[in-house]
Amino acid sequence: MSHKTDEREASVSLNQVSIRLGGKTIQENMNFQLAHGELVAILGPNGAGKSTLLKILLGFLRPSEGEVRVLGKTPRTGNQLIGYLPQFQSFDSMNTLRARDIVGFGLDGHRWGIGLPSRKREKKLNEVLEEVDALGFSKASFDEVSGGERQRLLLAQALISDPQLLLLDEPLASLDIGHAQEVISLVARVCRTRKITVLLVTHDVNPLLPHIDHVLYLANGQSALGKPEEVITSEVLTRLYGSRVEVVSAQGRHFVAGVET
Amino acid sequence: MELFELLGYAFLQHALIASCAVAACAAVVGYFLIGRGLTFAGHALPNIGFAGAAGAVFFGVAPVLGLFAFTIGAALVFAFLGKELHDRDLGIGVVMTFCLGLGLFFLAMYSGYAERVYGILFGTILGISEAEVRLTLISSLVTLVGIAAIYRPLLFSTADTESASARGVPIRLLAAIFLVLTAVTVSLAVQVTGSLLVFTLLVGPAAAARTFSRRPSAAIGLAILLAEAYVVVGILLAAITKTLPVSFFVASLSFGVYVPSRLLQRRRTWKR
Repeated sequence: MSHKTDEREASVSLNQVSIRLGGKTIQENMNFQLAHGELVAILGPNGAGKSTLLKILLGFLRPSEGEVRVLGKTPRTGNQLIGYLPQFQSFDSMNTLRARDIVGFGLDGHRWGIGLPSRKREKKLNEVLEEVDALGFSKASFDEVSGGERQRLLLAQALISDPQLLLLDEPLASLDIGHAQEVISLVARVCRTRKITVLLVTHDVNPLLPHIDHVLYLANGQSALGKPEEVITSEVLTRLYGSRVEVVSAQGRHFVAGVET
Repeated sequence: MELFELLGYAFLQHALIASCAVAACAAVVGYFLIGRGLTFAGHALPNIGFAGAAGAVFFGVAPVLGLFAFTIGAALVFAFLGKELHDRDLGIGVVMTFCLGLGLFFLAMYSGYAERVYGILFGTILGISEAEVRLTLISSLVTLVGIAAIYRPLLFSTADTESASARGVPIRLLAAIFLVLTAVTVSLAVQVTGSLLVFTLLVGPAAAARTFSRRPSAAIGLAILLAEAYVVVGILLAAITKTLPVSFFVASLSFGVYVPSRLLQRRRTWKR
């Protein structure tokens, strides 16, 4: 089931990786490699380790065992070649900041000093805002735009440093189906045109099916990687969950029955 | 007495110079305190400083040294309190009330002039010495340069901790540095407004400025202008009236600007 690629080409690789949090085993013996330029959906029930896996790839957490390589290196925070969109944002009373200022954080928010405005910086900002189709509301404040527009802005923030790997933690949560579609096509377009690897955590794979290359399914301490039609099957999911699971497919959509997803 | 004649007096010049330096720091720090949901810490620090100042008076050293010691110590404690707002504010409240109790203890033990204690509570800017002016200027400069040095990552982590952290911003270190600079500012501001009224200079200008601009640089710039205006007008009015205290005028101006700016805040909606 694991997708073998040339070591040099691998964007993300996990070798015998176990994840334990607070004495609880979240994942054991994860082995997989993701080739460069793939769009991969990470699926699985709550607590299966989807967000935790992203945090390991970002260098926030270390695996209890095994080796993780991201873009050929051991993960560490502050790698500008990784773009990250967290599941929760804590803007609170800073949500009156303008859209373009929030996107600009991705370019030089980590740098010391005040930072002076420059034409080059503005150009870069405008380019990425245009790429996510957000130029039209770049001067609106964060609390004035819709949920889908917010995700596009945060995607622009992640993209502005020209990353090789994008990690998106539930970017579709709390979006209605229309806005979710909008974000999905944007993510897919960005993945193909920029030729970068994208890992996207989601609860519903169906709207993503036309776009994704692979699915990484995490459940019950086990994982499986492969093409959607290979992984989202009654047989594979029953093995993962360790209990009877039925996948019902209708009109090109998959529904998992028998578990809380 | 004529205004120009008043301006010739050294005590008034000292007061104006020191206050302007403190006002700039307070405005900048205040912007971030509001953004980080730390205004309660901004209220607690001067109260904690009161204990330090009262202790310094009791032991016969300069009050500002006691202020620095207590507020910076408390700032470091705050930096390591839980990230959860609820836990953090509980911790801050417990530390603050303990320190107020300690301040009361020093007062009860102290048999000298009550006037010095009154000065700590309500400000003594018109009696500031040349040495204190120098210390104020140097400390203000350190604070402003410090904030400028960490400006971008501080703003980023204030807005979005998680993304900033992924980009390599040292969140905890920045929080600690910011709180220490806040403590320094608070200690200096106690001279101007007294520990009971620091909030008025620390949070008032930034709160009003934020209703006018959503750009951080513009809001901070406006907050500095407002804070400078409050202290200059406050000091001049106090000097002219001779009897009324500076902090009364500063607090009134701060209140008088904040209320209408909040009420008149356009329901700014950006046009599509």
